[in-house]
Amino acid sequence: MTIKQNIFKIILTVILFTIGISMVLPVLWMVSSSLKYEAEVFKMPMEWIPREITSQNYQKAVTDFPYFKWYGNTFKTTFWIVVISLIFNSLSGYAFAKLRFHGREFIFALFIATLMIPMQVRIIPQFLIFKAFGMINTHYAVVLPWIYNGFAIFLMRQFFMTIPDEMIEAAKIDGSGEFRTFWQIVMPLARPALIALTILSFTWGWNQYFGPLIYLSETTKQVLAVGITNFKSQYSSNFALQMAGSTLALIPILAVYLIAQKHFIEGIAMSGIKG
Amino acid sequence: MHSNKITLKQDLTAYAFILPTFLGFLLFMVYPLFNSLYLSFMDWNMFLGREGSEFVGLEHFREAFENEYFKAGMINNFKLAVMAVPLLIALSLFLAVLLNQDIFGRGILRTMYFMPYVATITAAAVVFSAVFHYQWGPVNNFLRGIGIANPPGWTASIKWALPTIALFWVWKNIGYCVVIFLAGLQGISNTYYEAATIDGANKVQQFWHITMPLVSPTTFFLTITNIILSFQIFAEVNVMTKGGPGTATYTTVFHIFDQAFDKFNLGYASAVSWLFFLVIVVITIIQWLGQHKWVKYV
Repeated sequence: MTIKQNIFKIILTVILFTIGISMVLPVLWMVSSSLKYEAEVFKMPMEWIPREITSQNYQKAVTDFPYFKWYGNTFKTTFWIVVISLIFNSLSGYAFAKLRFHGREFIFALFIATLMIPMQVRIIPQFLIFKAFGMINTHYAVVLPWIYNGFAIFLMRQFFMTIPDEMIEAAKIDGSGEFRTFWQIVMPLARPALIALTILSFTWGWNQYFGPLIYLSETTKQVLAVGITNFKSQYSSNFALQMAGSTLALIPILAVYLIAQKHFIEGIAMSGIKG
Repeated sequence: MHSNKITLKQDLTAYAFILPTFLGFLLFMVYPLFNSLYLSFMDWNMFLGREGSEFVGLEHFREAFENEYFKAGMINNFKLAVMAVPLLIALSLFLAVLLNQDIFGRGILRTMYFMPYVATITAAAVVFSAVFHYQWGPVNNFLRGIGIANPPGWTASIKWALPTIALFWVWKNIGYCVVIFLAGLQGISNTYYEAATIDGANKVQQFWHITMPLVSPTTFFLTITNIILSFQIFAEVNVMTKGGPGTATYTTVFHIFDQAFDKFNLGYASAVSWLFFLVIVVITIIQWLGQHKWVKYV
């Protein structure tokens, strides 16, 4: 019986690893090709570890395109998106979870109802708003819409609901006001949720494409997610260069993911239903 | 002890907490939603504003129904949803069920499956385009290597371009669904399986009679959200095919983008965005109404 179970376990593991490896294969191919000379990229049989390693694609990528500018812009906008997400969504999520006020259920229901409204219905008026305020081609246009994020509010509310009322009541008996209670008692307890939200909003910020594509027209103002597509249009047949550009764009986000993947996956799992 | 009556002070404090997000909600959600409805009835001049714009009633909506690109986009959106969503749901449930068994290296496997989900979509699309290049790409090289003389043309062929986009989308999103399914599966009490084992049910029977019904709320949630998301496919198309070849991968969002920000037909594009929104609402309502047939809440 145990032998049969072990064989079953091994077969399952092999199947799952085969599929898993095929999931990451494109990324491995990208890194491998980025280190090759163009003529070697599609040569058969394929060399996963190039015999001759070159850094010329990376050099060309950072000299032909304002790559460091794109990095800077992406870091800057992502940073502010994370800050905005953490502060505003915690405040709001806490209010919906623990504070009593008129219209709480109604406003929360409104927020939830907007979750299914596609951003494409709002993008044209948003564009006109930013145009009216002279914010087209500035990073404000890319960051400010993140002030409202129904999904993140929902996430934080779900977390704050799990904090026992008694802890908050105890702080109030000690004479601390709502803001102080929130800041000194609740926020430290919310560390796991805050870490999850940091990582999620980092990903949203780093990967956002539609907004920057529309709001930013100057190449030097652009972010990586949009900038990287210039490689494909300008050097459509230089695949080694395209792969070097893609690798550079993916390194930070994949590094964050590999370091913090536990929080990543917990954050995502937290978002799945039960309301 | 607190009384049941909410005091003014409580109201003021709470509203101070939600004030920033509420302002964001008004400015970036409520106003744009209604403003785009207003724009859809106008021949809006982006440069002159209200002064240079004209009320045209339902004209843009009529135009949309006669526009070949709009029709092609809608049809492709439905095709994409039909091709991609069932595949995504079935595959991710299958993987989640296997991952939930007693296996080696669950952590590292989960990391692998989830990785495409965090990858920047445009970079991933650039890589996918190269990997599936019809002439030189490693996929077709491999297929020729195992004796398939005429491998698919992928994004270069009218027949395969849309399935290629669907495949890319499934690859990108499967990790997310696996994680959500795993959370759902872990919520199923072991007593059900123990009882079934005593009754002599095998693994396959247990899957169909226990796992499937009990995980159905998660399946429902993922189906609804992913149909909505599949309708919003844009970056994939903009990077990999630009809607081509011909209109083979043209989507509604691509049409909105093209009309609004390339041709500056803001009024018409707003009308299309509302039609797009209404289609999503109708599909979602139909699913809500149909859920009692297969979703079991315990």
